[in-house]
Order: sequence, then structure tokens, then C-alpha cells
Amino acid sequence: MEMFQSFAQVLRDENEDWAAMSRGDLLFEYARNRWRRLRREHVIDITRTIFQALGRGERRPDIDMPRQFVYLSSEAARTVHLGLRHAHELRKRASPAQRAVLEQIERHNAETAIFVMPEERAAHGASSLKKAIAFRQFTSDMPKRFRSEGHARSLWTMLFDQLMFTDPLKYLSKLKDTGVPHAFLDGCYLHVPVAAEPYTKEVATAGRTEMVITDAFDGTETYDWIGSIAPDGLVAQLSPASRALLRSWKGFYVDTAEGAKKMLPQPWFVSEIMKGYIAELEFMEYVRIQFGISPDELALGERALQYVNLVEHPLYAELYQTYDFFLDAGPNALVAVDMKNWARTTDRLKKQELQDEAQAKHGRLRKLLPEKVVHALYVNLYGAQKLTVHRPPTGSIRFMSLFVPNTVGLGSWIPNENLTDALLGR
Amino acid sequence: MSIRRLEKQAAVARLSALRLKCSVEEAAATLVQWEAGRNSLLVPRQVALRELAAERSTAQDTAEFYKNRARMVRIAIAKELKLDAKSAAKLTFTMTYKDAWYLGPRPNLDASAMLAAVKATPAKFIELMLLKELIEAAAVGVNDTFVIGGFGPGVYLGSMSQASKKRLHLAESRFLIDAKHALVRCQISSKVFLKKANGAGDTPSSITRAVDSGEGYMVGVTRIVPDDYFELDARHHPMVGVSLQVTKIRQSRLYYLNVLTEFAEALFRKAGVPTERETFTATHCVDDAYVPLQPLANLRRPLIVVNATSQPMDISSLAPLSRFNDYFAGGYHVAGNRKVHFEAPVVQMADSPPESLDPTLNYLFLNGTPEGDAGSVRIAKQGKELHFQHVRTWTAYSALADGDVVADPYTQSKYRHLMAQDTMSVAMQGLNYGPSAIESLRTASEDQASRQLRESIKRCFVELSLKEALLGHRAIPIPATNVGPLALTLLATRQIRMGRKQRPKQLISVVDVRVEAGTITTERIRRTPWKNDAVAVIDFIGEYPFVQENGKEGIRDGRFWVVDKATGERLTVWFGDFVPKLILNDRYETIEAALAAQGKHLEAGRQQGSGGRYYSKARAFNLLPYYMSMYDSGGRGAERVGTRIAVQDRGSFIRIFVPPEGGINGSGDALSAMRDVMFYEADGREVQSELLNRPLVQLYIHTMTNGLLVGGDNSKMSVLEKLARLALEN
Repeated sequence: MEMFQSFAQVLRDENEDWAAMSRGDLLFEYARNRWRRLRREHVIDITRTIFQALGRGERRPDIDMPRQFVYLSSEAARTVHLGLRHAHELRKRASPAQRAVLEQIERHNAETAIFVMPEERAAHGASSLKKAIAFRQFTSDMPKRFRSEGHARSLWTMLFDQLMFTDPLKYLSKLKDTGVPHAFLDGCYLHVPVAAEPYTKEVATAGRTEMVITDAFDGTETYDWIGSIAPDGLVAQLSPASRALLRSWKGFYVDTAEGAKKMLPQPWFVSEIMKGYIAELEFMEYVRIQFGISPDELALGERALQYVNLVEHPLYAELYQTYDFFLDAGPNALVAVDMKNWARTTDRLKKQELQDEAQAKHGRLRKLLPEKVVHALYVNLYGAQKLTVHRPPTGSIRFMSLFVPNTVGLGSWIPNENLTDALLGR
Repeated sequence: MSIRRLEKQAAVARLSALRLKCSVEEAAATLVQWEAGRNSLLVPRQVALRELAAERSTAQDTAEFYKNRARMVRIAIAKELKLDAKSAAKLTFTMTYKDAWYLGPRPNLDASAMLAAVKATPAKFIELMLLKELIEAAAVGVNDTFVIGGFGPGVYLGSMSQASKKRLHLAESRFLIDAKHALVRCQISSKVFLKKANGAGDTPSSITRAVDSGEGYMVGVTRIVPDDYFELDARHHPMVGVSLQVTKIRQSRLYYLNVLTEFAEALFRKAGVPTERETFTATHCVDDAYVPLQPLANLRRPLIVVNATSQPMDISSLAPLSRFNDYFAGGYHVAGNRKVHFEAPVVQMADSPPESLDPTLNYLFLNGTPEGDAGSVRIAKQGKELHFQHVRTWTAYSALADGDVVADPYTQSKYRHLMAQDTMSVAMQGLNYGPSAIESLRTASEDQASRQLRESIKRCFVELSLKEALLGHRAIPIPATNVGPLALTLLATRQIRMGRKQRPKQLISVVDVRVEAGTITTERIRRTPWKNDAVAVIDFIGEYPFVQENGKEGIRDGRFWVVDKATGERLTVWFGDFVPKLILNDRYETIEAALAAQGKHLEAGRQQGSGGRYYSKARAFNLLPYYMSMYDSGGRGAERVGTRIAVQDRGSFIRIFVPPEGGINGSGDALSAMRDVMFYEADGREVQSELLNRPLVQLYIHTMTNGLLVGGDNSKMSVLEKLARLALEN
């Protein structure tokens, strides 16, 4: 409730058209964009708290001050740095202890900078935007070629390799040998100095907007690439396999001609490729635990659920990547699963478009497989939105999450049990 | 020749705009209170177009799509207002590309919440209120207006004599509210509707009621039931801009603009919203500052005529193109009874369209005469048999970029040699006639069709000559000024909406020119290639950040800049909807009063037997200043009409009015637009005064053309802008 109240206040302060907003608009904004809208209030709040704590040590006029040490965690330092962007008055009336801390933060920011010259930083914004555009162009053009080109299908499969989490250099060189174009390769990772602390900022030019990596100098948010795949609490609940992949939160250390560097996955690479990979991994793990089957070792004998071996399917070219998984649930039922990796801030598909697309895809599948009852299942790692979809003439369309917030007990996230029934086509 | 201060009292001309003497929010609030005083409380409400099912159909930008979408909007509004089907069919609304807007009650809101809702969208509210009041002003009974709301456009003005015709020629009224400058602009667009044979039975398909326009004259305000009409392409039935003929003047754009402006002014007065009229009074003028056609009336390089039709063509059928003395004995009409004679080019022939074009030649593509409205752009899927389909130019370019289609030869060449390139290297021009049409031209034929063909051929030569200049093969003389030497960069932009699923195309052209010794020479051309526009535009914006106002939105369509390379100072020109039109001498209270003032004069004309059919363009009346005379009370001595450019120095910008050559043609002429020029320092600061002392501004004013960009008339566009636009998409 507190969050909702602050959200409503922020909306009223910042949106001139708040009075014309409908209740639906308000709830949609709250569901999708509350963090983006409240982020500013959050950092200001924490900054104030830290300033207060620093001041407390000084307010002892009757005691002679011994030498004091202030230990500030780097996260707190980053938050104070971001908070001061908005709460200028704190800097103006800072006490000696607070000023000393601010000086140290400045020094720290200079040491952990990515760029030396301001021109470098500005040029990096523009070049990142161009990289992102080329990257997204490639990933959106590829699926158009799946039906006609076998090469495009195998290329696409190659992109999803766990090396991207463990050894970026090997991942890139492997893709390069297969003939993946530079539009993709150049857009995957960014080389930064080993000591760098990455931030992100929004860069917008001619109607194209992207979050790009930068340093404390002009960053508006700290960059945590693992956090943009799943929140901390959820990462702890993921399968051991996924957790093993999500370890290099600092980046990947490599040796280059210019000395030691670290590689950071670019934000668009994280949201378009890495996140999808983890979600698929988690889905297969879920199915393995619930039903004891996995795509590569087809279970023997009668099981309630079976992966369809797509490669040997007569309609392979048509079916490839229309959905991510196909499962046989009994003789007549087919469950088609599409992993959707929308998140709080990265959902590009608007609700309505998503629903329309889901219906159109369901229709296509009914036509391709007239003898089957088709259940389409849209699965998100977490945070799927409830969507009302018109029931197709046969089968169903559903939107579900793999993990849901826990309402009882200690664990903050638990696997979604309702998904089991949905997978069985019930 | 240079810019000089006007020595005599200049005439005050009324413009088709009103200035609010308060903020738009205050004006909206005053209107709400006035509205509340009459027990009617309506607020602007919107329908998001993207949520309509029609938006998501695959066949976008067809007439059927727009019609269907309008129907869906009406259904959505009717549902909100709980209207029955019959009233719903009459519903009207205004649309932006994102939303449809209408006025409706919000019963759940109390007075203060209502005020807040209006204040959230004050401009929309004022716009819709003006339209609603326009209908109500004409309403006779309660049934003529929808008391429960749902007003909007589709409010048309028309002459009362037109009211019951099967084909309706109407003027759609629009009010544009510019919140930043607190301006209300009145606009008219021509619409032609044809009544369906099986129109709805018991309810009338259109309602026309009269409003008083003064002096006993009435003008009709019409609303139509959209489903009962087909909309025709109004370009085939143009509305005359200004006519002095006694009956036609009341069906002209000029007249409707006056009526609308007077209406808006009266309404604001009634409601207590303080406004003042926008006027134009020249402070300076420029004599004979036009770029002439004569030095450009030849081609420096041979002309290759490409036959892009299936008709046979041989060199003898091209005789009209090479024997100008015989076929174009009359020359090229420039203006003021002066003619320019083109030198005939060396004509060669290419029977089949060449794969690649030679930069040392000029190309003229004969595209054949298009059928109907379809145009000459066609594409077909690649394959053994080509089934060509007519498409829009942009659709063709996008399909060519994707690579699986072939287009008609001209479109194909234009895409490959211009649109797909990052520079321009070939001069080519399309002509929508075939070889047989050219062959059939006779030396002596003077019929309408031959005249049109001659005019088109001559236009093609002028364009090719300008393209030679753009490619650096010749210089354009600017005899009226000796500004320079200057190294300039010309920038022009284009934003093309490609449909809902695709991002808009953003095109920029950057042309470097040198101005010295009274000539303009092009040095370098850069442009955004069609396919790679997104990345190329980022690079251009890095170089010229002022091209975008806000990075979150695309670049604006149709902008133009001139940058001084040495100082970084720049000039920009605004035109189009932003700039109001000149509509009446401000000494008359209304248009009808102005016409009534000529009553005696008309009567005298009638008694003499010959005259009386036209209103006078005498300087004594000076009905339409600057078209007729620049001076307040007629002035003394000879005043050459239509050659001087009138300039109003308004401090932070200058407004330029280029009159039609030779003044107004009494039987019918177009209204001239004005252009506003602004100037910025290298650091981006807007210069607030003395713009006319800046060399860039002086140069700009001396680069209008005569007979060059507009056949036989003065151009409102500078030749500098023309060069940048040619590099962009021509």
C-alpha cells in the first residue's frame, strides 16, 4: 500500500495528464512501470538515511572527538552518488564528515571510471546506440528466414550456447567461425577497465532509446546484469545449473592487447539472448522434476507427457521457433510452449499486441496440425501478466509464470504448481 | 537591389489566426466556466486508436482501412455515451495519429475534477469547443445538435446553394491550437463527397444550417452521415483559393478562412477570453530579388531518353524533345508576359532501361500515362511471371530494400541510384507520358492536352538543369545579391510514417555549397540511405544536434536549415500549418463588410453594362493587401504589383510574403503561404533582433525564384531549399 501511495503521488507530481488517466491506465502503469517511476524516490530516501547516519557521529558537542573511521559499502556509495543527483540541497549543507565521505566517493568514482575524456563518453553513447540497433535488427530479421532457410535455423540455435555465461571469448570465436555477422558479435559484450564500476544511462536519438553502459559520471542507475535476468531472491531459487551460470556478476576477466580488461554483457544482449536461455533452462528443469523427462533423452514407455522430437518432425521448417517447446500430452493434445522473457522494464510488446499475436499463432498451429487439440502456453520466468484471451475454438491459450512470489513460509519465490496442469493440457 | 525599409505607411493585413492574451490553460478554464454557466459540462475524451481491432488488420493505409477505423471509433464513442445506432452514425470526432478525441460528459467528476481534466488537455478542449459551437451556432432545433455530446470534426462550411447537391464540395474547418505561442489558427481543407445511391432511408444524410456571416449573407454549416457518402479525391475538384468573381468569392478558401476567424473571435469575445487579431504589416521590402530561369534554360550534358513503357519508341518519335524551336516556339512562360527559350539538348535513346546509369549523362524516363489515381509506381514479386501492382512510393522502396521484388524501371533506378545511396551522383527525371504521347505532339497544336504535355516536358528540363547544378556541373546565378563568399551546409529532413508495425523512415540530406561572385555551387552531397537510415541518422545528429528537438521523438518532417560553416550560425525556415495566411485588409471589420464596401462600385459597373461581375482589386479598396498593394491608402504613383517581396521584422523572427507574379488573377488564384525565418548563434541561442543584418538571412531572401520552381510564377521556396530537397528524395 505504501508503494502504491508513493506511486500515485509521483504520478500526480510528474504527469500533467494525470487527471485524464483512466483507472486501467493507472493500474497498468503501476504494474509495469512502478520501479522506473519510484527509482528516484528510492535513491533519495536511502541517501537521506546515510547522510543522517553520518551526521549522527558528529552530534556530540560535549565529547572531544577521537579519530574516527567511516566504512562505506560500495553499494551505499553508489546509491549516495545517484541520490545526490536529485537531492542537491544535501550536498550544499553537508557537514565536515559528510563532505569527507563525498570527497572519497568522488575519488572512488574517478578510479572506477570507464572513460577518461568526456568526448569518449559521449561518443560511446552514440556508438552503443548504433550497436544496439544493428543487434536488434539482426535478432528480429532472423526469424523471418526460418521457414525458408535451414542455415538460418542452425545459426539461430548456435547463438544459445552456455559459453556466453562462462567464456565469452570462446563463445564469440565459435559464432564467428559459423558465420554469425558482426551486427550480432559486436553487440554482445563491452570491454571495460578491470576496476570499472558500471552504471547505465538512457540514450535517445531520433526516436530510438536504449539503456547503455556508462560510468558513475553520467550513469543514472547501477548496472547489474544478473539482476536484470532475475531478482536476487529468485536467483537463489533457480536450479543449480542456472545458478552456476549466473556467477560472473562482476564481468568476465580477459587479457587483451591493451592489458587486462573485463567484458560486460550489453543490456540488449542480456534481455534478448541470455535471459531467454536461462528461462528455457529453468523450464526444462521444471519439466524434468515434475514429469521425469527431458528433450535430449526421450523417455521410454508410456508417459503422460512427451517432448516432440522436432528435428524429425515432417513440419520441422514450419514449426521451428514458432514456439520454443512442443509436448505431446496424450494422443490428441499438443502443448506448445513459448518462453516470454518480458520483465518490469523490458517488455516491448504491449498487452494487446501480445494477445493478438498469441491468437494468430494459435490459429496457424491449428491449421498445420488439424488432428490435434492445441494448447498454447506462454511462460515467463517470473512476473507474467494476467491477460484475458478470447478462447480459441479448440484448445486454449494461457499466460503463466515459472516462479511466483511466495505468500506463505520463508522462501520468497516458489515454482508455480499450476503450471503442471497446464502442461498436461488440462 | 537590397532589402530596404518601407518608406510609406504599409497596409495592415489580417491573418487567419488569433492570439490569446492569456495562457491556453487560462483560456480553457474561462471557456469551461462560460460553458458551466449554460448548464453544459463537457470535457475532452479520447479513444486510443491502437486498442481498436481495425488498427491491427494487415491491410493498412487503404481507403477501406481508414473508413473501417472511423466506424470503430464511432462505435467506441457511442458505447461510452450510450447512444443508439442512429445517433452513433452521425458522430464526429477529431483524430491525431494516436488518438481520436471528442467532447463528452464525465458524470462521475465534480466541478473541480472536471476543470482538472480540461486543464490536462486544454488545447484539445478549445479546439473541440470551437467546432461544437460552430455547429450550435447554426442549429435551429434541439435535434440538430447532440445535446449529450460527441461533437467533433466533420464540421464543414459550404455555400448554401450547394446544400442539396448529390456531390458536396465542402470546406472542412479545423482549429489548430498552438499552446507554446498561445495562437489559434484557423484552417480549411477541401473535401468532396459523393452521396451513395442507397443512402439511409428515413434520416437525412446531411444536415445543413445557415449561420449569419454578416450583411445579410449566410454560410452553411454542414454535418454529414459519413456512411452515406463516398469521399472523392479533392485534388480533382480543387477549391479556389481566392476569386474576385461575385458568386465564386463566397465559395473560396479566402472567404471560408475569414468566416472561421470571425467566428472564433466572436466566440472568444462572448466567453470572455481575451484575444487579439494576428496581423501582418510589412516593415521592409525587397525589389526584384528573384533567381531567374534564363541562365539555367539549357542542359550541359546529353539527355538519354529511357522508354519505360511497352510502347515502341524510335528517335523520330522524340522529335519534340530535340526540335525545341519548332515544338516550343512559344518558349517557356516565366512571368509578366516574358518568355524564356530553352536550348534543345542532345537527345539519345535507350530502348530498354539500362542496368546502371552513367553519372556524365542526364536521364529522362518515359513512364507512360498512369491510369486513374494509381500513379506510376509498380512492384511485382520476383519470379517467372511478373504481376505488377500499383503501390505507394514508400512501399515500393521498402520492398526493394528487402530485395524480393522488381519495380517499374524508374522506381528501380531511383531506388538504386538515389534512395539506397549515401550520396547522389546521377541526374534522372521521370515523365508520366509515353513515347506515343510525345510522338503525337504537333508543332502547331494548342489544345489543352498538348499544352499540358508541353508544360510537363519543360518542367522536366528545369528539374534536370537544377540536378546538374546539384551535382556540381554548373552554378546557379543569384544576381540580386552579392553576399559572400560563404561556405554553407544545407540540411533538409523527411520523416515518413511506414505503418503501425514499422518504425518511421527518417531521411536527412546534407548539401555543402559555396556562395561567391553571385553564384551558388554545390560541393558535396551526403544523405541517409533508405535501408540503413536509423544508424545514418544517428551519425548526422552527432554532427548537427539541432536536427532533433528531443531524442525520444523522431526528427521532424519537412525541416530545412542553412548553416554557415565558418561561424556555425544557422537559419531555419518554418512553413506549412504553422504559419497563418493573409486573409483581409484589417481596416474592414468582416469579409462581408469589405465586400459591401464595394457595393456602389459594383453597381456602377453594372450600369455601364460591362462590369459588375468582379470585385475590384483597386488600391482604393485594397481588399487583400500585399497581393494588391502594399500601402495603406492606395498610395501614389505606380506600384508594380507582385514583384516585391514583403518582409515583416518581428524581432525574433522575420516573416516573408512572396506575392504571386502580376498580382491576383481575378477569376481564380491560389492563396500564397508565408514563411518564417529564425536565426541561431553557433551555441544554439536564438537571435532576438536585427535578423535582417545577418548575411545568411539576406542571402535567403534573395534566393526565391521566378519561373524556375513554379511554372510562370514566383516561388515561395528558396532555391537553397530546393537543392537540399532534390538530394533528399527527388
